[in-house]
Amino acid sequence: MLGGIDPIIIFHRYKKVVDPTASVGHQLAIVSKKETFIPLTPIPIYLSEAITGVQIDSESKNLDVETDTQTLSDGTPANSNQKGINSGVSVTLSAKKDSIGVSILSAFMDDLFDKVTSKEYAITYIHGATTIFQGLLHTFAVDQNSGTDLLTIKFELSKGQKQPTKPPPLAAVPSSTGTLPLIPGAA
Amino acid sequence: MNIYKWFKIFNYDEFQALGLVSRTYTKELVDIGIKTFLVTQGNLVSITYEGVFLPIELNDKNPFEFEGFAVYRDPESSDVYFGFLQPEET
Repeated sequence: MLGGIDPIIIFHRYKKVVDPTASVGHQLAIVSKKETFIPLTPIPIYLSEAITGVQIDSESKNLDVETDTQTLSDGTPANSNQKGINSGVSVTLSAKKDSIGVSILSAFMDDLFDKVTSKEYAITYIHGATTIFQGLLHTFAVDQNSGTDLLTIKFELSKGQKQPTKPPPLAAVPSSTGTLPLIPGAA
Repeated sequence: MNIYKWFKIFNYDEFQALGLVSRTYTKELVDIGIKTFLVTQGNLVSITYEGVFLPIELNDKNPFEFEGFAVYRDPESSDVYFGFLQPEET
């Protein structure tokens, strides 16, 4: 147990569906559709050492920012442009081969793999100061060495822009009624 | 004479300048709600709405009317308006 408390990992699942408020074309092969995400029941796993047999060895939080500094020909102070590369947490665990926690983690990670492109998942990891909400899976690895019954599990979660996010509000488009539209500014 | 309720959807010239084959415009139309319009570039720029395909200025008809909908391109500003046919008052 690292830090005296046990971590919680929550698997969020979503189902991507076509927005039922948008109609689907039927007269042409061209179909206009709008997709939306329906949240499914999240699955929390309490990674208690006593229950799951998984022990947290280390964890770290990383922020990576790309900084591009440009000096100017007129000698004025340089311009610095920054771009966020990654914000995430890296966790290393160890467990025995027969650990039920590793089996559950591996099964869920395998299940999420197919949902990566469709964005139908998110992972929340809470362990004191090392917390990430609605993160994305960056890497997951289980290593086994000969001569020992210990497994080493490493996973990294990345915080990124992800669905479902609330879209920006749309500006309402006013209407005009007639045989032709009422053009603003027209005589 | 058909009466339509018109909404401005996009600007024809700006869409042409993008060089896109197609683009979706999502608009919140007053009294109707959020609707999505698929604009495609072919021989003519066309709008597909709820499965109805409306080429802008097809056969030099402006507005072009079809199946209860109409599209109109303002010759001055090139703004494209989408019209919903209004029921006739009796």
